[in-house]
Amino acid sequence: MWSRQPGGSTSAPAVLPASLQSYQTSGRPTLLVAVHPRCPCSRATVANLERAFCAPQRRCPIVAFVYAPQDHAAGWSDTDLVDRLATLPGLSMVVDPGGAAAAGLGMSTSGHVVLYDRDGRLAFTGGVTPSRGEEGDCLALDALIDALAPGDKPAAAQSGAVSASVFGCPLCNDTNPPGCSPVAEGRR
Amino acid sequence: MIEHSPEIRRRAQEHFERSQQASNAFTDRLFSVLMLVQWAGSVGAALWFSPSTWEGARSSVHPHVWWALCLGGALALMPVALTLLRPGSLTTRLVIAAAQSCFSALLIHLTGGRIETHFHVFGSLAFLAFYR
Repeated sequence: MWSRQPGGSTSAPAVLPASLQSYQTSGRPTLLVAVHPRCPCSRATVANLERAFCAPQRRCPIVAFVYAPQDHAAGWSDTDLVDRLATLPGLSMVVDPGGAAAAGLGMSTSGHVVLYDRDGRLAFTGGVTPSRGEEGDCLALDALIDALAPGDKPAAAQSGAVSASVFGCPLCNDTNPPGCSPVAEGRR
Repeated sequence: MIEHSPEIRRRAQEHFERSQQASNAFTDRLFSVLMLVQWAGSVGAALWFSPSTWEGARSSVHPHVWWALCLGGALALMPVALTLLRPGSLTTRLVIAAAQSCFSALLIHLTGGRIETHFHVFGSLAFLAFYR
């Protein structure tokens, strides 16, 4: 069924890239999320991230890569979804023309979340919703919350990074530049 | 206790059945109007919450809009047709009850599983409990 058909994704870097280390806070994980500002499915991702960050002890720096077309007009990305995303605590927003920056981090579907633990190692990659546009509890959200919990042994050190299917609008299409491939490997 | 003649009992039974049939047909018509309102509501919800799906900079009509139009239409028009063709019959009531349940599921899906939409189920159950 369409709503349970996962989007594409590629492997995220195993460690937090140097270009993003300026966002890192000592002793806290770093969360990256790619969002298409007009994707209705991604409202559920933002709602579930609000659930994940409702507890202050789970809060950490968040970097949101907001997709925009290469030749976008001013205000193209100003949507209610982005406004709601901006209310997440500790969020830094990066406009991502063509989705190239997100693609470089393995994120080619809106709603893809990548979490690096406090040591900068990949702890979680994938979506945090049970299906397209559906908010609420799911195993992927539980896994993200577990990885966010402070004081725990980093998930990556225990059993490797957790991955989950991503449900959302593709960030890329065949008009996008190289580096933002619409075809990507699927995940479980 | 007053003993009525068989003729009076027969006429009373006929009067009861006519009255019950009229009541059932009237309730079927009320539910038919509700079905059409819910159809319009589901299309409105789809257009409000998810009018388009995106692939990069390209957009197209979101499948939810088509589902609301087609599935919602099927859910609404079957009961309406039965209300017109077989008002007050058991089949009509069963189809209306099933359609009402399915509308709850459709509306929950179209609104992304929001908690608030689940109250449609509770409201429907209350009405369906009386509508037998």
